Amino acid sequence: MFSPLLALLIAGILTLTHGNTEWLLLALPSGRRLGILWRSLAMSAGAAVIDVALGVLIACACWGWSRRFAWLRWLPLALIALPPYIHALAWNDVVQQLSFRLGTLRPPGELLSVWVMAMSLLPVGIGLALISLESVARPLVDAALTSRDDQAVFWRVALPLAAPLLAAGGGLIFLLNLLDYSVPSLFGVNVYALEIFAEFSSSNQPVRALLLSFPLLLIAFGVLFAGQTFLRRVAQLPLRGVSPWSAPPQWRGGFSFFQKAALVVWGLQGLVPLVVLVKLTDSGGGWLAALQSAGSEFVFSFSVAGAAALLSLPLGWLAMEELNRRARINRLAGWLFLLPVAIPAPLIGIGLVTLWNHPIFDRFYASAAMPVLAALARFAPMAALVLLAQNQQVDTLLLDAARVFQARDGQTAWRVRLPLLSPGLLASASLIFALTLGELGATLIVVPPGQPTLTLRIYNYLHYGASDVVAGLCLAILLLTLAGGAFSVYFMAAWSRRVASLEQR
Amino acid sequence: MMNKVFGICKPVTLLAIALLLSACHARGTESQVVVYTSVDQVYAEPVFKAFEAKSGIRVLAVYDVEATKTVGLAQRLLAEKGNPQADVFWSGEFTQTMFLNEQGILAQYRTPAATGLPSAYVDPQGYWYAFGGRARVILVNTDLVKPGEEPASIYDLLAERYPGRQLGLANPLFGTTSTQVAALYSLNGTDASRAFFQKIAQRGVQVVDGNSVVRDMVADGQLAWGLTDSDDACYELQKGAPVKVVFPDQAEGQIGTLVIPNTVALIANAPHPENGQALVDYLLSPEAEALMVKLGWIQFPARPLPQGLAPACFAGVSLRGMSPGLEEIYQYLAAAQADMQEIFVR
Repeated sequence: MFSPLLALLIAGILTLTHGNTEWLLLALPSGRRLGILWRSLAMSAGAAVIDVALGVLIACACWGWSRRFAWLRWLPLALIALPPYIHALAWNDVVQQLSFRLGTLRPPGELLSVWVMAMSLLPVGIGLALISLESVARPLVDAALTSRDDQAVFWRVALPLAAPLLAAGGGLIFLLNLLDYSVPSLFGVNVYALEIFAEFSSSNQPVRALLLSFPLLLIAFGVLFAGQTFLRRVAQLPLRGVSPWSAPPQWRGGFSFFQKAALVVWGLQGLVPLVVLVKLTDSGGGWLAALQSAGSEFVFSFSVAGAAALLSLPLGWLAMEELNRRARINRLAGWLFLLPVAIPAPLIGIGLVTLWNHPIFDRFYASAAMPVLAALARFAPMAALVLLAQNQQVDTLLLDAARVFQARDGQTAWRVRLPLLSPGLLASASLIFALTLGELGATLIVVPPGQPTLTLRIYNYLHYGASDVVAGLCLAILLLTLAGGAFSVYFMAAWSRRVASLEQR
Repeated sequence: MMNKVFGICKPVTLLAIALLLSACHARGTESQVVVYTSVDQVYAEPVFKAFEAKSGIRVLAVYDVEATKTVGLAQRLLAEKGNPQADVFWSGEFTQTMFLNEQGILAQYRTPAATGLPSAYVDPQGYWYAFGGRARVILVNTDLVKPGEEPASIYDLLAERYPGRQLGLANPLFGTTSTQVAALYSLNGTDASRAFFQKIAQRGVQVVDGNSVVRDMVADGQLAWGLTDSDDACYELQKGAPVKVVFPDQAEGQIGTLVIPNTVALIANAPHPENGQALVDYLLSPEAEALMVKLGWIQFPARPLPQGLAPACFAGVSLRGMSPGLEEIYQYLAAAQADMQEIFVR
């Protein structure tokens, strides 16, 4: 996982010792580049704040739903599998229509970019807000409700308790936005991630691109360090996957209004791309043929995403254990494990080629293992963060009891710890699955010849202008992910029951 | 701890391995050729199928996408230099091929299939060949620009009669727009060209994500006109969008427009050199060029087409191309890109 970065660092040191020391200046952005970096940071932070705020409002609104339908709140998370570019195209279409009909000026590209970045990662924001707020212990809320009303308890008890997890989730969304240039680029806004690509494109030097991404590495390090610190402060309480309120809370005035507004935005977040996709699918007949011809890409892409999601769990677990220890050296190892998340995708690909493209590895190199490795290098750190969050909520009393009564450590881990961590394992596997499905930059560098992924095919058709085919493929991905999401929800409910039965014992 | 984690995750790992195996298609021992191509999959795939049918050689392709901003396959080929995986590189333009040649990635191959190609399209050393392709054009929205008021030159990007915000071009750091910029640098010199693009930036001309975005924005009426490629323009013409195509700078004494040929080359130390040569020969054949014209990928063939066959768009257009040669344009690419980064990435 860390190997692509290591390969690039070694290449970098070799290049610099060959008299290119002036390249080091690239690591210190100044002038024009500093301006672009500030803009990128502001836009990514704006989108993260929007997602966390909407996620909190939506989570609160969901607590008012009947228990029979409460599980539905997890389903729209399947929209995370839609590539951000599709959200961008859909919202661009809406803005264009509105500007034309209302005769108003088009909003600035920066605003549109922030909005679309927020919309494309809103499922992540909602998911993290649900996990954060639903981990708040019901007894604490019940106790507070004896002297205060629902709203005061929310602001003074529930939100502060959920804040560390929310902050860590916001950091994750911030990083995902910071590293993606595709949405801002569509709206004509230059961001730092594009600057790195521009440098790579004009110089053809991976080392120069790596040096240019140094500020992003530092920022990612800072965000991950802060996120990890926040997570360690989480009160160690079990996640039950239900509202911390025994009875549906009563919200007042402005807060209730904002919740309704957030629900409308949530609806639009799903509806806008869906309507545009359905409309485009109707506009041409090529999509059905494209779906039929993309059968092998479906199998390949879903298998790669599935393998990456599953393999990220043991890796994430190992990193989580390191991050969780008290010794500084272990925690440093954990942070290093998290760092590759900030490396531009093509550089991860180049690093993997440098490592694995040798005659003795030919069969391995030409296999599906390479895109899986690329996805692991890019996204497994996120699995570690999600698992760390989940681990903080595991009831230590249960673990202590298990250690007393179980014969072996492995037995404790298999029969107690695994069920307790299962929501986090499922959440991280789902996140990695969706991100791998949409991965492009690193996959292109390492994908085996003759086996294109669905995302590669979608982007290829996008360029050609075959909107109906793109829409058909995206809808198919969405349906399959929804089916997978439904299975995940069912699985999560089953694990919750098992955890509850463990607690009763 | 490690044992504990691995013990727990054994079933997960086994399932992941099973998924990996299902993703690995069983590779037969049949004859195959690996091609890396930046040509759109919709155009390249039928060409590969025709080659497979004719030769019995299976084509394993890796396709580039516009979204990776041209840093995809060329970088992959460079990274794989020590142990090449590809046999053939087929590009929809020429600068990446020149770059790969400069880096020692390409193999020398003299082929009779190049007979009849213009001399500028054949590398004297035999490292690469060019054939039919596209041209840079101005796509005009006919609802927004009245007849007789259409632009006629690339320099009309500075004409006061068109508000800057209504004009567009793809990001000049990447793709064929960057090649067009390099061509202008080689024609007009560095200082004059830099000043020209600085004025374009000052006018607020919209710099968008790619040529396909320029095409869509002109067709939708978001732009009055913009620079794009002839294949993108052809797509809108065939769809019946309210657009018109202008070939810029065609009058006597003007600079002409940039014609961007396809290029093809054999990779040095390729794993299947004979099959690679067969594919290169096929791609250079009049038969393949005719197929690419039929598919709509080539609007300006390098050789006369068979009787009765004409490009879907621009049939009979006699194009006045820019004078600098392909390698001359490539020499200016790095300087042009560095300037464009300074001017437009702000």
